Amino acid sequence: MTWRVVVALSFTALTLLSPSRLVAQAHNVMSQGHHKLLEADSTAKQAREAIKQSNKVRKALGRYRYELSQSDTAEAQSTLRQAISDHTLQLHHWEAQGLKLRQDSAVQKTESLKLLRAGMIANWSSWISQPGPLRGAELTSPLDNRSHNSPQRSVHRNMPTPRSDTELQSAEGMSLQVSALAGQQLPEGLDTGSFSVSRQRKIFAHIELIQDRSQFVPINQLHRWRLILSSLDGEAITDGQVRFGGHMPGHVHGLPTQPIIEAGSAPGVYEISGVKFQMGGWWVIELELETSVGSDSVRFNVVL
Amino acid sequence: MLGLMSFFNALRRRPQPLLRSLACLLLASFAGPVTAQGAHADPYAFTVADQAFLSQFTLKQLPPLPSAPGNLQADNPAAAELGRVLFFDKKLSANGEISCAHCHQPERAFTDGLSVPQALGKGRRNTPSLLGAAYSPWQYRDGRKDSLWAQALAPLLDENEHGMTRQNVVAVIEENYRQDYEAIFGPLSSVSQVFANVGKAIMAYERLLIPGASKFDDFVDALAEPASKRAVLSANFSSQEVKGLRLFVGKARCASCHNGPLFTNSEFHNVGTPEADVQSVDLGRYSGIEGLREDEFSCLSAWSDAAPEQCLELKFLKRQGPELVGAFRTPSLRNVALTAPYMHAGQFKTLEEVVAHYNKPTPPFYDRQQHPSRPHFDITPLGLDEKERSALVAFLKSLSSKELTH
Repeated sequence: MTWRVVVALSFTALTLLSPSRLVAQAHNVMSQGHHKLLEADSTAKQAREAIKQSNKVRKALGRYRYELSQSDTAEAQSTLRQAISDHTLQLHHWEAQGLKLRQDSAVQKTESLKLLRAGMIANWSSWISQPGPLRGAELTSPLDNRSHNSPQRSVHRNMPTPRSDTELQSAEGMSLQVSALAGQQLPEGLDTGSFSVSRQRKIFAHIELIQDRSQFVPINQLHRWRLILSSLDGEAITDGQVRFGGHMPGHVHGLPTQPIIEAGSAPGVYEISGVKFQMGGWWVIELELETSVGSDSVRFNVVL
Repeated sequence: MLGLMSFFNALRRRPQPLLRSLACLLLASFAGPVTAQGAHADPYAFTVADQAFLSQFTLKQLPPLPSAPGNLQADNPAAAELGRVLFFDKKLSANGEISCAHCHQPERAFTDGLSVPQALGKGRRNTPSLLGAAYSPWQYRDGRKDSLWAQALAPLLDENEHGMTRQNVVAVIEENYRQDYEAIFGPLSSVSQVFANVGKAIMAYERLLIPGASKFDDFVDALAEPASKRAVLSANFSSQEVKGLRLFVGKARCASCHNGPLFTNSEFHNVGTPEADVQSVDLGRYSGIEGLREDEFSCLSAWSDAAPEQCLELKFLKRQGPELVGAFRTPSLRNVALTAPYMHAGQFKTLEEVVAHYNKPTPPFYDRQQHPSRPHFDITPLGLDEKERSALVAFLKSLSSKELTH
């Protein structure tokens, strides 16, 4: 092996490992995710079309069945029976199609989020230390994401029926039946992840706790979060104006403070200070974003 | 016998499936390890996880006092001593008969036993306890003051309370406490500065008013001890109190807001307490925000020792939202048995009435002419039966300190 080859090889290795190349790869991964997400959206659209079709066919079927019940000539009955048989086949086809497309779309969406997440983690590796969901200290929420089944209304006259003991649960190893999630009902499969795609598909965002004292989100204490904003292709969003809002579903109140968001130490990185939660439970955090790629909003579910 | 009783108890609890009841029976009769299922057999049977959960409410978990950047003398013992003397000094009133202790009576956990205070005139809101008040970022039931020192100044000037002027207060200091004052704060200066420092001395005293341990604290501490020593548990904490404790953290949902060692989140909620005066409604936190904005002695003021960036609660102050209307600060439940009447205007005379309200709450009074928006309402009926309600009251009474201050 001549020295030229050695130099060339080391040069290639260096280029492969250089930060700019890694960043480019991360962008690439996010772009793939973006692409996948568009695919998922388009599949979801097809699924909706298929379901629309199946509804149309179902309606027609109903009409033919009614006509059959009213018809008195053998000829008409035979035609109608044929139509019913055809439409039944069609109905099965569209229903199956709709279901399959919907499942495909869900799979594509999961894959796309995986890619976006991986790309963002690679791109902002120095700033993302907690890719998992935000967590409250275990003691304040022993039931984690389990909830009871009471239909919850918190406002006035038509009050819910009194709760019964069945709505309370015991966490592992506890004899105390602690009122779960401050009386909230958690939807099945609620996404509590710390990465989220914005409503208009313009922005990908991540939140995490800035660990001053503890790895857990505290109750009744002001604390700080880090926010990372990027386009779906991995470009940092540097000029974002962010409005921080939040509420507890089933409770009419919002956050007890008005947090302040400031641009952080790197492109796309922001610091949110003054966050405070006065109760454990399910919180929905909503960020209203004004950015160079347009206005948009992004949501996170936090269960403390 | 125990097993049989548990069986009947389990049967009485309607929603329990029969199988589970049988499991209770078996476990109880074998006196085997305590499990979640076996719990109803013996209200005293707490698991390790229960103990860990309950310990978050004990005084041992009380953190150090929060820092007080607005008052450099907050932890100066000499300031606390001057503050203590001022707190009990009747000279700090227009008629020479009213001190802070007139309404904040130590033997009643620093309350006055009245629905609304009666000093020179009649007040509007029930006198809150001062035990543990230093831990709250907000003072007054509407949180219109952001420190104990800013709060302590307001009653001095209120014509229904002490009825003083700033000059009167400074004159009292000059005549009676000049030496003590100057040793702490330096030479007497402008009227407003001396006046502000009077508040800071009183605050230094109030920071020492930490509730003492209660039967409840002893009980939870004892749970951590080996099972053999637990036999004495029942002697000091009745089964009624234990049942109430279980309800408090569970079905009655008290711990949603009354959490932590002081049993409060120090935040503001509208629990639909009947309006004391429908002709002139109390807007609670909504008006408290106005008060903070106008306060001459806030953390951001010239009289505060804090740099503006240290005033975090004001920096992140929530200034609007329907949940502010008619919302009042969650009070600590420590010594609650001593602080009747209850709620922001003393609407309820007894704890039984309070629990009855939470059990079947009425929506807040709403008057479009007076309220900026329909008040937010944050509680739902609990469905506690009579026995459960009295158990809950028994538990609340177990929160009284054996010795009032720590």
